[in-house]
Amino acid sequence: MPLNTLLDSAIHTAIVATDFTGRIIMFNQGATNLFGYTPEEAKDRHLPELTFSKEDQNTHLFEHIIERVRSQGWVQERLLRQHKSGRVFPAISTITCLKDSTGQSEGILEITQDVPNLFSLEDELKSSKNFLENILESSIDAVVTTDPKGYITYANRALKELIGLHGHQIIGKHICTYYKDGIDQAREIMNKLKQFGRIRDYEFDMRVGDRIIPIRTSNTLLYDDYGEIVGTMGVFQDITARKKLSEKLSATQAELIQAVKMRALGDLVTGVAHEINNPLMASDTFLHLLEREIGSKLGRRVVLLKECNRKIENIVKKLMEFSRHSEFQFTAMGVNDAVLSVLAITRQQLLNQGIELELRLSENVPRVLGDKNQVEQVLLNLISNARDAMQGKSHKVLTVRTDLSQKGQQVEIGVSDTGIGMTAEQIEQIFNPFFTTKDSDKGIGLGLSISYRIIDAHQGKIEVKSELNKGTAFTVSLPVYQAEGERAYTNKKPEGNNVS
Amino acid sequence: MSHKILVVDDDILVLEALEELLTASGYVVRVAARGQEALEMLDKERFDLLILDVVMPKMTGFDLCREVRKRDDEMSKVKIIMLTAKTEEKDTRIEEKYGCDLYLTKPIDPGRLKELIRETLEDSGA
Repeated sequence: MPLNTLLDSAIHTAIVATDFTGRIIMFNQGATNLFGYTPEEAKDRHLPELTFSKEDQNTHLFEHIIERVRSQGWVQERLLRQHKSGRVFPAISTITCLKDSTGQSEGILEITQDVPNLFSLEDELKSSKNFLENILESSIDAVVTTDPKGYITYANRALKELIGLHGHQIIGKHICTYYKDGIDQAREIMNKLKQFGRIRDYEFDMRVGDRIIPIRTSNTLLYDDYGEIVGTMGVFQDITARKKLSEKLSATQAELIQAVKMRALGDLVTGVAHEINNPLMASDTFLHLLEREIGSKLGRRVVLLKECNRKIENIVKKLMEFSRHSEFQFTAMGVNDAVLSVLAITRQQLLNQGIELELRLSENVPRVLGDKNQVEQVLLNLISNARDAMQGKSHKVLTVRTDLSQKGQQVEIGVSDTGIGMTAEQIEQIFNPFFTTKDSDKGIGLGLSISYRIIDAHQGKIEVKSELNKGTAFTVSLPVYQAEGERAYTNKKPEGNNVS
Repeated sequence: MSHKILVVDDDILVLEALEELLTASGYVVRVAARGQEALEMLDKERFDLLILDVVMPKMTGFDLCREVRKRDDEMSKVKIIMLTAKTEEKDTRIEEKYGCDLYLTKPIDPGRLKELIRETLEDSGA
C-alpha cells in the first residue's frame, strides 16, 4: 500500500510535513478534514499562516516550536488552530523531526488531533475553581485551612479582615499564633478533631495583637484520596456582638427575676403584716386590761410583753415600708444635696468610729426625678451598712461619690467601704427581706430590700460589687431628670403594687 | 346613761379584746363578726357608735359604712370609727371618702383608742 494512501486513511488525524521554514510538503486527508484545505491548496503554503491563530502567528510560536523540536527531537503541544473558515479550535499536536535517508533533518512532521472537549473541560474546571474560591472569599465567616501540623495553607478574605493582615503574612504561620491559649488550644482542637473527625460550634478566644476575639468555630479534617490526613479546615465566626448581646440578655433576665421576686415578696409581706396586726391589736388590748388588774410583781412581765408587742409592731411597720404602697412624691432633686443631708446626720457617728470619709461629689451632675426622703433613706441604709461592715477593721474608709453615667442618662451614687466584704452567695441574697450578715441587734435585714424597692420605683438600679475582706461598693443609678418627665412621674405609683 | 357601742370585726380575738376594754370603760358593748349580722342588729337596736374592721369577708367595713349611711332612720347618722389592719392607705381624706368619722389603723394603743372614742362620742353631743 502506497504511503500516501496509508496517510490519507487516517481521516481523523491531520498529518502534515513541512520544511523548517514551515513550507508544506505533505498534507493528508485528515489535515483536509481538520483545517479545510485540499492538499493542492495547502502545498507549498506556510503552515502557521494557514492553520495557526493570528495571535500565535504574531508571537512566532511556530518558530519557537521548530527550535524546540530541533533541540529536543519532539514536542507535544496543545494549541489553538484555525480552520480555513476562520473558526478557531483546540487541538493537540505532536511534532517530530523529519530525517532523510542519511539521517539529516530536513523538516518536521506534525500529527494533530482536535480535542473539542479538552479545553472546555479545563475551562469548566477553572471556572468552577474560581466559583468555589469566590464563595470562600465572599464568605462572611473566616475560612482557614492548615496542613496536618497546623501551619496555615489558605485564609479567605474574612479571616484576613478578622486578623487585619495581608494574605502573605498569614500563609505559613502556625494557627496557634492567633489562639489566645496558643499551642494548648491548637492541640485541644486537633485532639477533638482526631477523635470525632469534626467539631461543631466550639467556642474559644482568638488573640490578635491586644485584642481578644471570642470565636465560634466548626472544623473538619481534610483527607486525600488515600484517606491520609492532609490538613484541617476551620470556619471561624466572630461572636463578639452575639456574646455581648447574650450577656446583656442574661443580665436583664436576672434583673427581671429579681424584680418579680421582690414584688412577689412585697405582696406576701403585705398579707402577712395585715394578718399580724389583728392579733397584735388584741394582744395589746388584753395586756392593757391585765396591767390594771394585777399586782406590781406580775406587772413587770406585762410591761415586757408590751415591749415584745412594740417590737413586733416595728417589724410589721418595716415590712410595710418594704412593700410600701404609698405614693412617692417625685420632684427634680439634686443627688449631692441628698448625700450631704444624710452625711449631716451620720458624719459624727462615722468620725466616732474612726471612719475616714472620702467625698467625691461631681459638681456637674444633673438633677434626677426622685422622692428626696426615699432616696435619702436608701443612702442612709447604704452608709449604715458600710459603717457596720468596717467595724473591727483597722483601715476604715467610706467613699461616697456622685457621677454622671458614661452614656449620660443616669446619675450614679456610689457608696463603698473597706469592710469585710461578702461572698458571692451572700451577694445573691442581700436584697432578700430578712437576709442579714449582721448580729441580730443590728437590724432585721430589711434595709437593702427596702432600698431595692425604692430605687425600683424610681426606675433606677442598685448594684453591688464586693470582695471578701476587701470591701463592698454599691452603685445606685437614677434616671436624669427631664423637664417633661416630671408630670408623667408625679404621683405615679410604683409598678406592681397592686395588692389590696 | 351609758353609750352603746357596736364592734364589728371578723377576728374573734379583736372582738373579745375590744368588748372587754370598752365594757371595763363603762360602755355597753355589742359585737358582730359579719357585716350582715351588724345590719340586722341595727334594725333592732339603737347605737351611739360603730367600730368597724375594714377587711372582712363578703361585706367589707367600707361597704357596711356605706349601707349604714344610706339608711332612712336615725341610725344613718351614727358615729363610725373604721379600725383597719391595712396600713398602706394613707389618704388623709379617707373619712370623707367613705363617710366615717375616724379612720384608725391597728394596732393602736388601747388608752389612745379609749380617748378617741370618748372624743368622738362627745363630739356627737350624745
